[in-house]
Amino acid sequence: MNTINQETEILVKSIYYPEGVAVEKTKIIEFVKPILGFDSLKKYCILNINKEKNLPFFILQSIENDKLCFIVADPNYFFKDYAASITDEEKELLGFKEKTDVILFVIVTVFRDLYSSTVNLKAPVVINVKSRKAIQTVLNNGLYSVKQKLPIIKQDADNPKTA
Amino acid sequence: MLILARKTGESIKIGDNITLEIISATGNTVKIGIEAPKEVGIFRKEVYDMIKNENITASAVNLSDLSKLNDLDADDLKNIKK
Repeated sequence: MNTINQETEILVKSIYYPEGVAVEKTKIIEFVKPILGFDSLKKYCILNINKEKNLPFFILQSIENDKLCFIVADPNYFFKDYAASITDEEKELLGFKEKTDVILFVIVTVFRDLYSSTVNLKAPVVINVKSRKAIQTVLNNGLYSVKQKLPIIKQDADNPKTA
Repeated sequence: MLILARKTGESIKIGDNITLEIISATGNTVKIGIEAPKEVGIFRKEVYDMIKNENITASAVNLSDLSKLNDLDADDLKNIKK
């Protein structure tokens, strides 16, 4: 069972961690511009899918609704040149001071066939790790799709796994 | 739906903090200036709908999706990195 330090941690439940995981209160992020369609839910945390593996995928878990989560990915792992610019108003909302305080995630739509999964490059999640404020921003530069296929390839006879 | 007629340069208030101004109207295109608090999201509706729908689709995460991702390993992914 999970023991948590009531003062500094909360127990976050998730479909993936039905018994809950202890999350430091300082790691809770608050959306100051909501995930569109989920306006009333503002508090989330980032959970690992697998601590041992260095996967570029994480769970963006709602703290207010244990049934709600998103799979998010580090976009630059897959798309090296991907970048998002945010407006001055958004910088202010995030309490943005330095570029290095901000991390970028894209929301993954996981398909039954994992290798058909897509990511939303048009509306990334921007998190200021210092202020713990987050937004879903919408990039209007015309470069990015909401359904960009993830460039992952099935390892089979034609694509043997090589070390 | 409330319908108001406005001339170029005239405005509409929505609550205390939101102002819409008609900047120009040419043919079937109307240019609207919008002033709103920074936490208010302003989108072209078709863009809003597209993002919202994608978010809703993405939120239908189930356990098998998660275990499929868990089954991936860094080597699988290394091969795809450009």
